[in-house]
Amino acid sequence: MKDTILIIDDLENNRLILREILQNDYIITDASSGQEALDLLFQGHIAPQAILLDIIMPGMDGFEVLTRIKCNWKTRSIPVLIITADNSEGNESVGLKMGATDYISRPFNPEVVKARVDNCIQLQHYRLHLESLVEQKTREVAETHERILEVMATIIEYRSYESSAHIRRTGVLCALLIEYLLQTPKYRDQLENCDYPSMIKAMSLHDIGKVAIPDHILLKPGKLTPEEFEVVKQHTVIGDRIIDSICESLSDITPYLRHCKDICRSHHERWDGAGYPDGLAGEEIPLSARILSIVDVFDALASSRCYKPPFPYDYCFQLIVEGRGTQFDPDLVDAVISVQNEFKNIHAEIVDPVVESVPAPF
Amino acid sequence: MLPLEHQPYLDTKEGLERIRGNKQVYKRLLDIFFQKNFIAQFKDELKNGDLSAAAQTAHSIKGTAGNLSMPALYQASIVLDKKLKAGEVIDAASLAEYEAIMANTLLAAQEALHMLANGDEI
Repeated sequence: MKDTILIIDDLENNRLILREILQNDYIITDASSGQEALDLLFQGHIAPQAILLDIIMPGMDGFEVLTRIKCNWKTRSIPVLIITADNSEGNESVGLKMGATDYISRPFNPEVVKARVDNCIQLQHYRLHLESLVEQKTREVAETHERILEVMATIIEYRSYESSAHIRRTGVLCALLIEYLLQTPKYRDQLENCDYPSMIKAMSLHDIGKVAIPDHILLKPGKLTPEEFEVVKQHTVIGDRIIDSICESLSDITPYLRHCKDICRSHHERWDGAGYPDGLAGEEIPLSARILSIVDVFDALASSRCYKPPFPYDYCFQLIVEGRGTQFDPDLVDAVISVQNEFKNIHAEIVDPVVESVPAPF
Repeated sequence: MLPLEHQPYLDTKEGLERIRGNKQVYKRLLDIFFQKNFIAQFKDELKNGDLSAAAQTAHSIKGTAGNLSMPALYQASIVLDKKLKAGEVIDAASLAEYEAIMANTLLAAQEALHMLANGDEI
């Protein structure tokens, strides 16, 4: 498809001549004033690959048009060639300093006009191509990071029987709770401003730090000694460090990785400040970690663990309510109670695999 | 470069080359030049003392004359454009001279239009 060129010149003769020089190779649109051109550009009627701009025009002159084009994020990357008279005193250098890509002088030399426009368009294509390559590579790197983290979450699933369905359930339960919170005035803006879809994705990684916990502690039936419990508590800090090591290779942390870090590190904090590892309290605890914390505890209560049988749902919700304002964010407890029926259904639907079918790791 | 009084009024060859020999477009460009009646507009603006408008018009004439390859008018417009930009007064004699160049240019353009209408080579 042919590229589009916008010609901005107040004189019809000049527009006609440029059109004649260029119309074999390009689709030509023109405007007879700066305002007309800006209306066309900013209202999205046209998206030219290059702009030819006369400098001396009645009303809004070319320098002002150039400034407005370069200040608008939609149009700033379009190359602008300014049109100047051959004896104009320094208009070329002023225009080039203001962001013009090149200039063409009147009276027009058709070969020169054509060659300069062609060069400009070629450079523009090359630049756009590079930009899309960088964008694609950046996306690939981000996806690779996500995959690595998902694989690590899967490794945890294989290490402990309890985790395999637990990780999937917590993801779905968090998504449900977040959907509910999006209807509440208190949390709607906060969630929408923090890329909540990536928050939902990050939930499944909360126990990634457990890779570093020895099997004899992680899979121990019965009560842990205080020393062993100290080791288990380390999975929060270790998870945060694992995500950090991935962030090191990035110039900017993505919202997804930010949520991963928050969730790994802070999902065992308590609303009253008595949790670990940092003893954060109230809204110091990232929202993502507060959400995961309440969902994680509900799922642990309602499921069987190597140290306990599953509790009936009503008892689970009773324990959650007892933690209102001490262990949990009071608003989140109210939200969970509002969607308790859905919580029950999801928990009953995603069941743990039969233990015998999983090969013992030791 | 030839001195002003020896510059041709209309270089049809160069003018046509600029638009890749398209006579249809060349005719339209000359027609537009006629319709504009630049000189009347220019004189009005001078008479009303609107120097910035007069400078803008001189600039437009200069651009058009350059692109249509009207060397005499183009050179005269450059001189006038410079004077106006420098805030100099255009005296009656130079205005009359300018008007004469414009009139001769229009005559040459009219002749070219006739020849184009008759299908003659120009």
